[in-house]
Amino acid sequence: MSIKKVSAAVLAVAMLAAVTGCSSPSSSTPASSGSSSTAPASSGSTAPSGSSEASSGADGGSESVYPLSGDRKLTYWMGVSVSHYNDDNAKLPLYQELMARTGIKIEFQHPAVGQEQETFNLMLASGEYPDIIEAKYLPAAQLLEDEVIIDLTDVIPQYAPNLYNYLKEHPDIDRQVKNDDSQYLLFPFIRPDPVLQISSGPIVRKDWLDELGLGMPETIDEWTTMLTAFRDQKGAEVPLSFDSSGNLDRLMYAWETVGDFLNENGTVEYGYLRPGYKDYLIQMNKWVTDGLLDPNYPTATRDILNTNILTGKTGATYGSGGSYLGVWLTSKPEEPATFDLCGLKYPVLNKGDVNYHGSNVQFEYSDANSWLMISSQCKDVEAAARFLDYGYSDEGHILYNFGIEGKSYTVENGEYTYTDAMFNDPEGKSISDAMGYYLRATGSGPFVQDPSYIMQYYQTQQQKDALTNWADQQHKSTKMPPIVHTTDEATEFTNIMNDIKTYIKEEQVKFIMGTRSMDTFDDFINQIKSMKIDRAIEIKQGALDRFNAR
Amino acid sequence: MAKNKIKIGPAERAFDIFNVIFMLLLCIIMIYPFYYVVIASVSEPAKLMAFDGVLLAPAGFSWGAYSAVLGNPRIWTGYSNTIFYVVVGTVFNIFMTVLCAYGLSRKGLMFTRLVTVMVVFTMYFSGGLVPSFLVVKGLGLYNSRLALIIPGAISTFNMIIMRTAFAGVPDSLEESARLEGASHLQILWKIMIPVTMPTIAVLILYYGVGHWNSWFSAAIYLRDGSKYPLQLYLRQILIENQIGDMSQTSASDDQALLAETIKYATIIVATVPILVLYPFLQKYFVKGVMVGSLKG
Repeated sequence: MSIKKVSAAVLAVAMLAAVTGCSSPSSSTPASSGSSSTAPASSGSTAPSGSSEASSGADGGSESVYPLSGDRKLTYWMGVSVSHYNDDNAKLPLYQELMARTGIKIEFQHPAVGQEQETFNLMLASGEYPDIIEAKYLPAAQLLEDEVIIDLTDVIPQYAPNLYNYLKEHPDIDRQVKNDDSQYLLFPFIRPDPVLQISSGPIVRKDWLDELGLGMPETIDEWTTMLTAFRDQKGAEVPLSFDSSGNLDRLMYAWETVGDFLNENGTVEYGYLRPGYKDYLIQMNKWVTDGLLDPNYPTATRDILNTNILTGKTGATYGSGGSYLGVWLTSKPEEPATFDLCGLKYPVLNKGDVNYHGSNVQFEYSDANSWLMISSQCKDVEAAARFLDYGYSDEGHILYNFGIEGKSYTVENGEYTYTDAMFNDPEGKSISDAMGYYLRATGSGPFVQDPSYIMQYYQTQQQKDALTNWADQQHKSTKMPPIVHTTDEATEFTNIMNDIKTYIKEEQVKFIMGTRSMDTFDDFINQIKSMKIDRAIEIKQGALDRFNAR
Repeated sequence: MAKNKIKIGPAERAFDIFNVIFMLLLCIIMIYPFYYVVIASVSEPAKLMAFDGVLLAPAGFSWGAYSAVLGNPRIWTGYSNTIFYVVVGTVFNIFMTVLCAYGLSRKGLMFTRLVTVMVVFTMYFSGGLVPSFLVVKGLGLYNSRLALIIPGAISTFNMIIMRTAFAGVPDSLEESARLEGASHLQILWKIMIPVTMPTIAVLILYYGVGHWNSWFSAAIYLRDGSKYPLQLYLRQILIENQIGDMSQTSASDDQALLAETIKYATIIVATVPILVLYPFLQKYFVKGVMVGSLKG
């Protein structure tokens, strides 16, 4: 009896909580959407829309006049999260503005974060697709074959003049976006500038360099001198340290090799089979023996690396400008007060050498960033294409990169500057969350990223300098372009490479730690060869040839 | 020393001392991770990051992580949703489980064996994710709160526990009630349930904690963020922080630094409320199963 009463009471309280709980977020959203709802009225319909007609008209092709006429509605499957504080992108000022300007109403479908792949598969199983699909890493070719998405080869010239003209002006990028059959399947995210493509590089203690009068080391020998000085004069226990994400291998570039497949003027090679790899192992082994390189590098966690850097156990490492360099600069220890870090160029063997692989340069288009497709069930392909194409227009470029004038950016002398509200959000949101309300430059999407975004996004001078340091370096382009394997190739390739990668990873540690003698290096190479590496290279070569023939 | 006490030899004494020390160490090993989560969650992110060694007290002191987690409006939506799922879901679970278990525990019901076999079958073989999804979608439950309550209404394992508990009640209890003219519903409500209350309390705990922790079916069956339970939001916060970490372009402001302590605050926020449930159910575990049901 009493249970019944209690459960009824609890139920009532829970219902009450549910009702009041539900009402609180909706009462807070008008604050943000209310402020934004004035924006479309002020900026959406006046000056900028006029300029868009002018610019898109000048581009030629079939001109897009925004907003589109009629009652246009689309569903949009959003496989990436834009802003942490938001359940529905349609409420974001960015998308309200986009909807107002294009005249297309968008209904978003958000999968739960972390379950994107699963939710996508279930959606395919259910047989109901949205009009627009935005995602990363999906097998576009397979989706086309299964008739989930449509071929955009004819759609883009017809309904997406801005993107079409951009690709025509940039044949290099055009080649990356097309597939091997010269079809367009997607609307790409494009990073046209090296400072956007590069995000990481070597990092050292600047104050130690200055104090020891070492200058910026350029060669491996200068690195040895620097690390020895760190060890002897600054008491660094492990002068050179890494976390377990494999960043040590970045130093391999100095010996003209790369820990991956590389593209040597159109010929595919496997970096571990190049002669420089042995010299690299010998040098690393020497550093470990001399107490310069942290022997825990294969297992050290990010937390350990953080502690090492911040407590002065380590003076040199490798990391990104944001979550490594930036985080360390922000959490600068009180002692010593001079604590400072800077980005270094990648080391080379002899002074003046051109770095073999350079600064981890990526291509303008990469499937690691999200891209967009139009589904086979889309009834209004024109509206979908025009909506996505807006991001490549002059006006859309500003909207996706900088947001809304007066709210998220201001213009002075043609320079776009983010407003202070982006960096010091009144509600205490982080910079990327605050920006996520108005723009998508912090992530990816259907537009061309603007280089001035990153220079403002990085808060400290050290980060900006580091980025230019890493990006400026002369290098040979030996990186594999975004090639595509067929399904069969991919399976065979993965089978071969899983074994080889595991083998190399295990043996490399043994060589560097000195538990395996360098005398057995030839056996090591022969073992890799016997694991059918030639077939893997052949597969890569085939895909590269097809890419070059596009 | 009292005469009637057993004498403790030095060897035994040594054993006792060693034993206590050993057990204390074991306790510390067990408790420290929990303690660490608590103190890390109130530490200053920068100091925590630079800390070297075993953390015994918070490194610096800051509520920043909590205000970031609790300041996220979605957390409160999540809380109210979760409470809804836990309360409504558990009540529904218990109701359905008791009904099914009572029926199957009665002797003389037709096809008891067949039904039992069919029910147990589902414990070992399931249709898989896609068929389950299609069934839920076909029933019109997709993107409905009921999708988290109805499909899992009866857990086979829990139902069998309940059935066993009912079957264990002496027949004489039921017979005496029947003599007084009680119907099945009255027997269930007035006799069976009070007598098996400890088992039901255990099931409440199983179901309640299950609902509290569940996020997967919400991720699969719900589309609107406004219906998400707390766990899914917390998972989202954790994953998004990691993504910011990996994307290599995360900004370097203080908020981004918080990611370090946010994960600990998230654990506390997610576990403390359900811990509160245990003391209330404690009394049922202490009492014997049959206490007070039969006299003489």
